[in-house]
Amino acid sequence: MHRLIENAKCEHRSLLETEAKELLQDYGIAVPAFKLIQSESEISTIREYIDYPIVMKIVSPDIIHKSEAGGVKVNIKDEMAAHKAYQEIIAGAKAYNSEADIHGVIAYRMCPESTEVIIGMLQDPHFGPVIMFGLGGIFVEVLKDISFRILPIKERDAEEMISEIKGYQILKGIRGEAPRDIPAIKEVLLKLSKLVMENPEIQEIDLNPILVYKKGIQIVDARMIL
Amino acid sequence: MKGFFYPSKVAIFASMKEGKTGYEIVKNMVEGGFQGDIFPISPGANEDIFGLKVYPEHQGLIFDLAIVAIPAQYIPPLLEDLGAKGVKRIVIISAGFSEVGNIAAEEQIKDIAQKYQMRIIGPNCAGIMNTKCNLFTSIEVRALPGHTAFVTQSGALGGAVLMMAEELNFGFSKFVSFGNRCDVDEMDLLAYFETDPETKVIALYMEGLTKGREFLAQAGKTAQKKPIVAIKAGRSRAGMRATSSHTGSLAGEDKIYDAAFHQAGILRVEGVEEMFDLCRALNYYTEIAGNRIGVITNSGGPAVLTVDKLEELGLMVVEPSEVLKDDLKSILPPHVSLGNPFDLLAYGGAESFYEVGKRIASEYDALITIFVPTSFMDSTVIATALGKLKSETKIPIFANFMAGRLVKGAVRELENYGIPNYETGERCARVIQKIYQYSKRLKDE
Repeated sequence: MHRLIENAKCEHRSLLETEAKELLQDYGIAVPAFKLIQSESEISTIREYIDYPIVMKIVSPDIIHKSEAGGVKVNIKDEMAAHKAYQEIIAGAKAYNSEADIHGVIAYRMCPESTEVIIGMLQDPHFGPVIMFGLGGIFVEVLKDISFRILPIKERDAEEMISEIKGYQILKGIRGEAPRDIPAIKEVLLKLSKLVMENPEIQEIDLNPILVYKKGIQIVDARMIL
Repeated sequence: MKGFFYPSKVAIFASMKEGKTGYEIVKNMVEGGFQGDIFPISPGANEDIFGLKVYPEHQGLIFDLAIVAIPAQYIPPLLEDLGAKGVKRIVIISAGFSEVGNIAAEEQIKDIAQKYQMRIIGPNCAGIMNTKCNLFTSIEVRALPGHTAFVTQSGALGGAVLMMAEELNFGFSKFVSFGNRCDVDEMDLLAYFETDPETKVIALYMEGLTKGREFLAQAGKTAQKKPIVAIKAGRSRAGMRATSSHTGSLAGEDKIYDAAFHQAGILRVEGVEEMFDLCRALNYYTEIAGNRIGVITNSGGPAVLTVDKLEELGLMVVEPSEVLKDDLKSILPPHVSLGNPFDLLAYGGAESFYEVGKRIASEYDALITIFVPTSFMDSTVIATALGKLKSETKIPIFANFMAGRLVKGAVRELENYGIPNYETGERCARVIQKIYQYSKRLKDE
C-alpha cells in the first residue's frame, strides 16, 4: 500500500489535496508546484517554491466544500496579501466547523485561464474501477458530455475517450483557435489508469478542473476518496 | 457445455396432463423430430402421450439430460437422486427460487450440483434448443435452423423473439434461456458458442450482470472470433450509487455499460428489431473493411434518407473518382447522375444495377442498393442481378427494396443470394455502421 494511503487510512480519512497531488506526482503526472503552509511564519518561504500570484486553499479532511467555508482565495499577488488570506482562511474554517481538523493551507501558482477538462474515477459495483473524461463547466454539468472506460485502459481507449465527446471540436480548436494539448490529456488518462490499478484502496477521484493549454496542462484541483 | 445440446436420451420431469408444461415440451420434442430417446416422467400418470410411454419414476431409466419442471420444493431430493445416478446435465424450468426471494432453495440446489459435479441451466428459465439435432426442451415455439445462438436472461422475451423470428424466417443454431443462472452463466455460454461450429453470431439479451469484469474478459475473447450482439435492458435507469465525488454523481449505469460493451467489442443494440437486423447481416458479412459506402438507387427520396443516416453515423458517402465517372459515362444514359448516390432514375433496370455495381465496387467498402418498383418493372429480376453482382464482387451488398408485398418475391430471392434486405435504407445504414465498428475493433486489436 502506498505510504500516503496507509497514513490516511490510519487516520480514518481520505487523502488531503496535498497528498493527492503528491500521489499524482509519484506516477509522473505533473501538478502545479505547491506548498503546504502549516503556520503563518511559513508564508515568507512560499516564494522559494512558487511565483506570485498564487491560490490558497484550506486543507482539512473535514471541509469538503471549501468555498462555502471561505476556504479558497485566488489571485493573491504578494506576501502581504498572502498573510491576510491565510488568516481569513483559518478563521473562516474555524467558524464553519469548530471541530475541523485543519492540516494547514495549500498554496500553488495561479494558473492562467484556459479550456477546462475533468478526469475522474469511480468504483462501479459491477465493473470495478471506471475512468471518466469530459470538458469542464457547462459541458459536464448541463450537457453531461462525458465518456467512460473500464480500467485499465490502453492507448486506443484513451484516444477514443477524448475524441468521442461532443466537445472534442473545442479541444481541436474552433474558429481559428490553436488546438489544445490533446496528447497531454491522453498521457494523464493512461498514467491515472496505472495509479488506480496499483492503488485499489482509492474509491473515487476528481481531477477538476484541469486546464489545457496549447502546450501542457495543469491539474488545478485533485480529490481522492478512500 | 456440449452435453446440454447433444444429449442422446432426455428425461422430462413435469406434469404430462394436456396443456401442462411437460406435455408441451414432449410435444415440441416429438413434433420437432428429436432422434434420441424421450422419457416423460410424471408420478401417477398412466396414459401414453404422443406415442410415448409416461413413466411414474426414473428408476431403471438411463438418460444424460434431465429437464425439470416440477414444483420447487420437490427439486432438491430429485437432484440428489439424479446426482447419485450420475446424470450430469440438468435444465430447471421451474420458478420459485431467488427471483421470488427464495435464495436458500437456490443455494441448496447449487450445493447439490457441486457435490455431484452436475451442471444446471436455470432455474426459472424457458429451456434450451439445438436445431442441429432437433432438441426442443421448451414450451416456446420451435426455433428454425440457422447460425445465430440466442442467449437470453428473460424466458418470456426469449419466447417472443422466437415467435418474431419465425415470422421473419430467421433461424437459430441454439437457444438458451438461462434464467436465474445459478450455475451455467453468460461466461460459460459465450465460451461454448465461441467454438460451436454451428454458430456464426451470438445474440444476447441481458438485464443485469453479477460478474462484470469476468464477463468482459470472456466477451472480449469471444468477440475476437465471433460477433456478439447484445441488448442490455434498463437503459434509462440513472446511476443510483451513493457517492461524494463529482465523477460518481455523473456516472449513469447505462453509460458504463456502453463503455464496457464497447471495450469488449460487443455490439450493443437498442432492441429486438435492431438485434434481428444486425444478426441477419452478420450471418452473411462479419467484415466491412472501411467506411466508404456507395448507394445505388432508382429513386431519389429513399436515397436521400439513407445518405442522411449514413452521414449521421459517421460513414462516408464519398464521390467516385474521375476515372470511374468516365467509365460510368460510357454505360449510362447522359442525364443519369454520376455522383454518389448513383441515381439510375425510374428506368434503372437490372442491367444498370449490375453494371454500375460492378464498376464502383473497387472504390467502396460496402454497397446499399435501393429499389422501388415501378408498374412496368419486375423486382425479382433486379434481385437476380444483385445476386450475380454479389458473386462477382468482394464487398458486402445490402438491399433496401421498397416495399411490402410489391417486393415480397424479390426479397425472398435476395435471401437466397445471401443479400440482407431491410425495409428502409436507414436500417441498412445502422447495420453497416455496427459491422464496420466491429471490423475496425478487430483490426485494431
